[in-house]
Amino acid sequence: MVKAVKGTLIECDPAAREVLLKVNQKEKFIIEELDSTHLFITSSHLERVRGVLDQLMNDNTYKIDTPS
Amino acid sequence: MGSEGAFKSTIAEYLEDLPAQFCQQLFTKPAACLAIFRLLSTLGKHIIMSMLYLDAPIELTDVLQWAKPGKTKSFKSKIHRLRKLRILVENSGKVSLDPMFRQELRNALTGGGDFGSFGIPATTRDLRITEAWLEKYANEKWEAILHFMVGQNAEMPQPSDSVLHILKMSRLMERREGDMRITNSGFQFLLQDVSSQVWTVLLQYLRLAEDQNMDVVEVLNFLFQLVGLQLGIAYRTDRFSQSQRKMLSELKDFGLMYQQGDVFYPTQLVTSLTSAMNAEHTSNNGQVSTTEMSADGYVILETNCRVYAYTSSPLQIAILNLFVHLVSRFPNFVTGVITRDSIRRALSNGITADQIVTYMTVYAHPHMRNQMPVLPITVTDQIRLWENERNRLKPTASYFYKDFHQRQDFERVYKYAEDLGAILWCNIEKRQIVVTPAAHVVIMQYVRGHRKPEQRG
Repeated sequence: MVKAVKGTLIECDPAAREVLLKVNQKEKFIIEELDSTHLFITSSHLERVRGVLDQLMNDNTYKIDTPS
Repeated sequence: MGSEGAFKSTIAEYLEDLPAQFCQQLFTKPAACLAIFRLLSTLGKHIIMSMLYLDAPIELTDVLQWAKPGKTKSFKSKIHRLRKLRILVENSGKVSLDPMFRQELRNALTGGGDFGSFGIPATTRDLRITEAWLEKYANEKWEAILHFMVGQNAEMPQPSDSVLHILKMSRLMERREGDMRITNSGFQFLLQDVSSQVWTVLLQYLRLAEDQNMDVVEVLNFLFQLVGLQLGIAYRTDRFSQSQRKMLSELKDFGLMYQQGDVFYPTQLVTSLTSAMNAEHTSNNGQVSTTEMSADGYVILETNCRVYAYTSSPLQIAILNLFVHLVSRFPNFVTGVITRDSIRRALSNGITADQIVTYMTVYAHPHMRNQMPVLPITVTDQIRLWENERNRLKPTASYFYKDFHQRQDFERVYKYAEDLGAILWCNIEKRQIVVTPAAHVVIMQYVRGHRKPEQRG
């Protein structure tokens, strides 16, 4: 019997994928880990995941000190 | 195509789309013929000049002989363009110039025909209005509009209603929360050179005229007449029709001309629109050629992302402020730094990394131009990386199919979805497919339709 699930396909680089997997440990939203660059997630979590990823990338970016 | 080329071709495209009888009416004015002629490329001008004094049609095959060996293809496409503009008429294998166009272009070149077509110079004029004064006046007007678009200076007077209307109609700005805000395409507009900007506005003006049921041919004729005027000369307005006066007063607000009582003075914004100088500067590939670079470059960009801009123009500073974190300002220059945040702010405003790089290349300080490439690669790469970073996740709403029991089932559905072009992702080993939502309903129907016979058998 075929199962059809509604959701959102995400294409991303492997690094971003690892971040998403880490977030998934706290709150489950990944329906299926397809391969190293694709994930299938619940659509309602998309914006939240985006925000988390953006925040994480921001924290991990080296910032040039703005001269005053 | 360079940005300028793109806009020139839009005026050409605009002309191509005009109905035939409009073109005929347009060709009755020598000024219009000359302006169209000046808008064409060198090759197009060459073809027209060769045929201008031929009274009888000649064989198309003979015309094609004029092309250099190996250049026949571009020559043919040029002839096709001329035919679309209805300048060239083909009749049973023979071609000739449109008779009206031929006659009026001859008139334009030899100074015959209708006297008023190129504007009537006024006998009296204000001696204080010199070319330099007009240039300054036009630049101030134009920059005030651009500055208004950047929207950083609240005490600047608002442009007139007609200017606001055109900015809004062309979607360069839009009304948001009661204020006029610049749009995505407005930012792109700002980073173009002045002559493309003027063309954009004029084209928009033409479209507006259509919407207001004005006579398009009259508007076009008037525009082409303006374009053919000479800088620094006073022209009379007393023979203008009502609608021409209206256009004059509307275009005046853009700094395209200066009006004083019954006379007006065109400024360089309008007189340089069709000049051959600009056409030569247009590069045909997307690259910025050295000739396209602005003479008054002022930006120095160092490998450590520091920006030094030798300018005191509030507009240029405001534009830089779109993507540079400005730090300090001196009487003749400003310093700043390109940071991830400043670029991200620009990106979220709809400016692309390419536009930023192009802008800084075009306005690079003369000292920077000795380097190849002009801007440090480390910085341009970093800007592009920051752009890519914003799009790390590529989401697509979709349906995920799994747990196919039999390989045949999977293959049949797979084949069907593939024929529909609906497959976003698949793994044949695991028997999993991801398809577009649009195709989901159709595929499910297909699956159900096939299950029944299997159950029977």
